[in-house]
Order: sequence, then structure tokens, then C-alpha cells
Amino acid sequence: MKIGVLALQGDFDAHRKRLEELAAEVVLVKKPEQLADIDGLVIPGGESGTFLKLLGEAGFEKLKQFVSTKPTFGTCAGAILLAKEVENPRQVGLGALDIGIRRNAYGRQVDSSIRQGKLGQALIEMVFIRAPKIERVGPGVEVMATESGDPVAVRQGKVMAATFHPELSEDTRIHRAFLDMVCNGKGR
Amino acid sequence: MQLGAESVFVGSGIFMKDSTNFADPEEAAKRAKAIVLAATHFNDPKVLLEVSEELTGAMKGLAVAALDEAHLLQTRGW
Repeated sequence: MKIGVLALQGDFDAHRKRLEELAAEVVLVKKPEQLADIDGLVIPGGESGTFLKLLGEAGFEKLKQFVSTKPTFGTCAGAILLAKEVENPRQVGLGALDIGIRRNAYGRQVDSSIRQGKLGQALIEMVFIRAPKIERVGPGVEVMATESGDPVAVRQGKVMAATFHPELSEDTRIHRAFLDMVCNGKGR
Repeated sequence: MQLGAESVFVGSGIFMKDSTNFADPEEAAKRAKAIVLAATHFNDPKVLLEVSEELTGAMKGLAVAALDEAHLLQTRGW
């Protein structure tokens, strides 16, 4: 099972480490052609506007195709990229996840924090860094985790997203959930 | 990047021709783009060659040893 991590910018290396800990074979994706070789993709935290700049139009289209067919997991900037509507400021999205998302919703860098949230019934550490907030959850979207009642991790079909950074915590539950999703996908 | 860094920090010297004069904006933009693409595609010789073509030279910077401690990046912030 080959998992790609979009490696144009951001904390792709942190995701790589987490995935390798879970015995996944990781490919750092910098060119669109590499998308053909992977079974699932992680879009890391970073700066979503920068991702778009570095992807370019052709890269964006290839990525859009990919996320509509193969399992994809986005964290923070990755979640923003996957969303249908993006605000504060407005930005084009891949539209793979029927959510509305608001960038920098908690404030500036200094308002970043590590909090305890809920993954189902269990507590989980959540690292929020200039995080966005999911403001609209579409009908087909399942909320996987919450923090202070807000949805902070969601899933819709083969797409998963978190507004916090599981790759920066020791806890691997969320990455495992993604790998399970990729595994199950292969069975079909 | 090949030494294992996750990222490259570029200071405001990107805009400068030397320690006191601004570089021509087009030249600075070209160099900035080259730096970003080189950091992103650090293992791709073709990209490195492409972005290095017709650059007027490396970014001029200030020697760290010449800076006051108060001006050092690592002493700032929370």
C-alpha cells in the first residue's frame, strides 16, 4: 500500500514519519505524474494559497481528478484545499468535501493552541495552528471528531479532513483510520 | 534541503541588491521564484537548472556574525 504525501510545501515530513511508523510505504509527491502510483494521498498542513500557487492549473486539475477517485486525507491547509467553500479570504477549493470552511478562524499565530478534543467518545490531543473552522457540514458528511462542540475532523466517502494536526501528536488513531480507509478501498 | 531540512527561511535580503540598496523588483521576483522552486524541487536537477537560468546572481545577505543579538531571528517572538 503506497501512500502519497503532497510535498510541495508544509509539514509533509511530519506526515511521512507518522505513516512510516504505521508501516506504510510513503511517496513524497511533487509532480502530478506521481499521483498515478499511489493508493491514497495525504495533503499536509501548510499554507493552502501556496499549495495552489505551486500546483498550478494543470497540477490542480490532476489533483481534483485524484481526490474524486482515491482516498485522500487533508489536515489544516489540506482540509481547506479539499473543501467546497472557503472563506476568509475566499479561495478556490477541490470541492471534494461538502463543507464550508473559514480560514484562520481562531485568530493569529499567537491564538494557536493544543487542546483536548473528542474522537468519538475518546479524548484525543489536538494541535491547532492558525486553524480553520468547519462552518458548514453537508448532509453526506460524517463528523469524526469535535472540540468544544465544533466539528474538527470529518469524513465523506473516501475523503477525510481534520482542522488540527494529528501528524504533530504522538497519537496515531486518526492516521490509522485513514490507512484503514485506504485498505478497505483496495478491497472493492 | 538535501541535508534534511524541512524548509528554508528567506529573510528580507531577498529584496536587496546589497546591504543598503534595493534590487530591481523584477530581478528580486525572479530570484525569489527560483529559491521557492529550488527548495520545493531540490532533488530535481531539471527544475534546478531551469530556475537558475539567467539569474543575475545569488541573494546578497547580511553576515549573521555582524548582527546585534537583538536583531537575530531566534531571539524574537514568544
